[in-house]
Amino acid sequence: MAARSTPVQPMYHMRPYTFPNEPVYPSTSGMYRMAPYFPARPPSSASGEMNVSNDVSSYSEDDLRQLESVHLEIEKELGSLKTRVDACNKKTLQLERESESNKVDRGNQFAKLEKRQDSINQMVTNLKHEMNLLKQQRRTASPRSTPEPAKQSTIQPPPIPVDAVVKCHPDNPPSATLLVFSHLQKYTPVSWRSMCHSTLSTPYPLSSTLLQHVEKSIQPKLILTLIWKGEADKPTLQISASQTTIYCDHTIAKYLCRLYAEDLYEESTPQIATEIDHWINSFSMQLLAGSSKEKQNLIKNLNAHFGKNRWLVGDQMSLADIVAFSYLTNRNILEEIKLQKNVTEWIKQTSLELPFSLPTLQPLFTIPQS
Amino acid sequence: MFLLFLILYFGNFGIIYFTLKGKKQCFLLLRQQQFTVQTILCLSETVSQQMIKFASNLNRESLLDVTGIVMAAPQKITGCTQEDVELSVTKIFCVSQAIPRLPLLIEDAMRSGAELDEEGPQGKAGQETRLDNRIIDLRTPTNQAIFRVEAAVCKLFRDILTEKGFVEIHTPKIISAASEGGANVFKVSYFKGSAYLAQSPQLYKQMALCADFDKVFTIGAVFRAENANTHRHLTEFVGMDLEMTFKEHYHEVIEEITDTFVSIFKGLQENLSEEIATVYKQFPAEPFKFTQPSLILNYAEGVAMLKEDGITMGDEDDLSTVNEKRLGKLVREKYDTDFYVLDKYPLAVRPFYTMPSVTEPGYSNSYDMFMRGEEILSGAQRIHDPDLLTERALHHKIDLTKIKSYIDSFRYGSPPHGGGGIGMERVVMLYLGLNNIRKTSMFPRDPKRITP
Repeated sequence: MAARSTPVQPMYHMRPYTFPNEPVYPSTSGMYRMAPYFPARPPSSASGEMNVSNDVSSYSEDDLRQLESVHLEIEKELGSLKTRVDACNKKTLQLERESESNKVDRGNQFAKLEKRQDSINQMVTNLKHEMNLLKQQRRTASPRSTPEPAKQSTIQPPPIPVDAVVKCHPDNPPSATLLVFSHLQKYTPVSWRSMCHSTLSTPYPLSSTLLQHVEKSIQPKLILTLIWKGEADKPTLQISASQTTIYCDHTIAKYLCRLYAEDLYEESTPQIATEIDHWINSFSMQLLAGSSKEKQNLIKNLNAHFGKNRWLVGDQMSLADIVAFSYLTNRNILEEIKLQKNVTEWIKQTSLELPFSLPTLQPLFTIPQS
Repeated sequence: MFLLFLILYFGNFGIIYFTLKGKKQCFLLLRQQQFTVQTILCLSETVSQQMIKFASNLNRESLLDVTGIVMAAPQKITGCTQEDVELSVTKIFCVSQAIPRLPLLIEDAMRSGAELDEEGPQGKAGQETRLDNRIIDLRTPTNQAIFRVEAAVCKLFRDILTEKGFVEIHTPKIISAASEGGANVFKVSYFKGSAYLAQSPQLYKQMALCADFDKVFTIGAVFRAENANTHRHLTEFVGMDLEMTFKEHYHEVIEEITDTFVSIFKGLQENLSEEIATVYKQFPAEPFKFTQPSLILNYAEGVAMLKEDGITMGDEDDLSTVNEKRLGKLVREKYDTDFYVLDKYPLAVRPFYTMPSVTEPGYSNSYDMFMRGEEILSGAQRIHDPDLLTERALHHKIDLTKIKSYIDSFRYGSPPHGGGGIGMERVVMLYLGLNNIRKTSMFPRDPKRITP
């Protein structure tokens, strides 16, 4: 019952009949209402008729209406964005007059916003196009479907979240993936689950606690499913059943970044993104697969780099740093290499400065002691 | 060769199933349940020529009382479960002689698929021959193992649920009305009138909960008059049913059931690994995989996975057997588990007593559980409100007079509850990866067979 911790309610409220992930009964109030387990009126729509739906004709008016509302929403957002861009424009002009030194920075922000606006514009045109297409197809399809109103879809399937399944071995945890995942909860509603596979001789004790700091959303867009296995030595990612299995922690982290945390990876300039790629590649080739000499070489390079720079790429933390941090604190890898002073210092600093909370992830990392 | 110090008197009987004849010596292969040992009679002071002749003329499958000395085998003995020792006979008595021509040769019943290919069709013991001569068929090590696994499944189910605070109940099998108000029931004459054979203990489980038993389970025969000659349907099978009240959410029930399953799987893995290996030897299958906690997918997610795989089906359609298998394969590829739960089925495809979902209109608080892509449990939160129940029954066009006592049982205060029924034979079949449910039913009953 401990897992079913619902926020404490005042005494005079009906207990919310909820499960961590979903509200079972929508907002209840009062303490005299009956039977909270079923709707007062059973859904009349749920008739026994089967719905034979295929391609276009399955898009009901409701679907179109929904699309339209989404369209409107995006347009509204676009409007607000435009005013913001205008304001920014004004400000930059002002600032331009005021000081030359600040100009570059502001201009950068301005360019970013503009880029985002462009992408949204693109999305809107795409959506319009899609809608028109649908409307057209519907018009052609409707003569057939109108005489049989019973064929209308009676149920609306709930939105299906992306379910990223990561299979990994407890000795080789996907630390970078977990770090990025705890970061991207800021940008999108997420949920997670953690399971121990039957190939594991004893259940992994940390499995259910690692992601405790990530709040499970009721309607997540992304679910991270961790399966702790006894065999897989490299973490693998499976998004759909038919897709090629994706290997390695850093590749999975990349995928998560591309989904919702672009600020860590590809949002920046092509140059920076490529630099991030470069570092990640060298970690995978030298630190994971290389000989001990290559490993030590990389540490030497890193040591030199950290002597002068706080972060691997640019002046803020990026995916490259997260991958470096997780590999450099991995027990298996640490056994084979000798860390140098600047690297040790960097790990310590970073562990304190990670921009997202990771209290429960801490046991995954071996922070070197001096 | 050296003598072992240990001298055993075989008080138990062994059954011969193979002899090698020789003039001065004779080999017998003795079996005791799933274990076999090689036995040798050598011409010596204690073993006479007549004794060897007597032994070599014994019919296969005869019951023997043997006394002998356990000796280390000069080389590893193949074809026996006891590979390192053999038994040198000093006394041999025949307790019961089998007939000389057996209707089914046990070696034929023991062949695995690979061996069958070598032997060709003449060495094959067909399913029907085996079932007709089930007593001999059951003597194979594989069958010995299968029914030991089955016993363990039952015992684990009972022990685990009792541990969890469930009460075992026994429900009547002769009932006055069809439980689900529909077809698939056997009608039997009952004195001057007629009665039905219970197709599920469900109503009685629910009534026990209304009688304040909190959590109950029952193991017993269930009858289905389905004229289905498939690999997974029987007309009589053992149902392991459980039903429980819950406090906040019907997922408590799912959690309890999946937890029970995981414990059963683990118990089998730990205690019966030898038996499972024996079965895999004759019927090769991949070891059963599961996760803890179990994977729960929404029905809509399952449909989405199937659609992504190129299958056209409506959101409100039930899963066909083919799609069920397909989804099982997809889930195994993505999640690497042979056991999972599909939650929130469309209301339209579930029985009238299923609780509709509050948050998602058109769906219901019901679930199926799958092993290797085949359904083994079907369950739901049941409606415990008489008015709603009446409404749903009318919606399904069920004659209210026939289910009056069922509806009435919820009129005296009833707890929110849910549960499910598990087919024991199916669980064993799918856990072991067998291809036919008749292999896991000791004396199977199907539309074409009511003997032996």
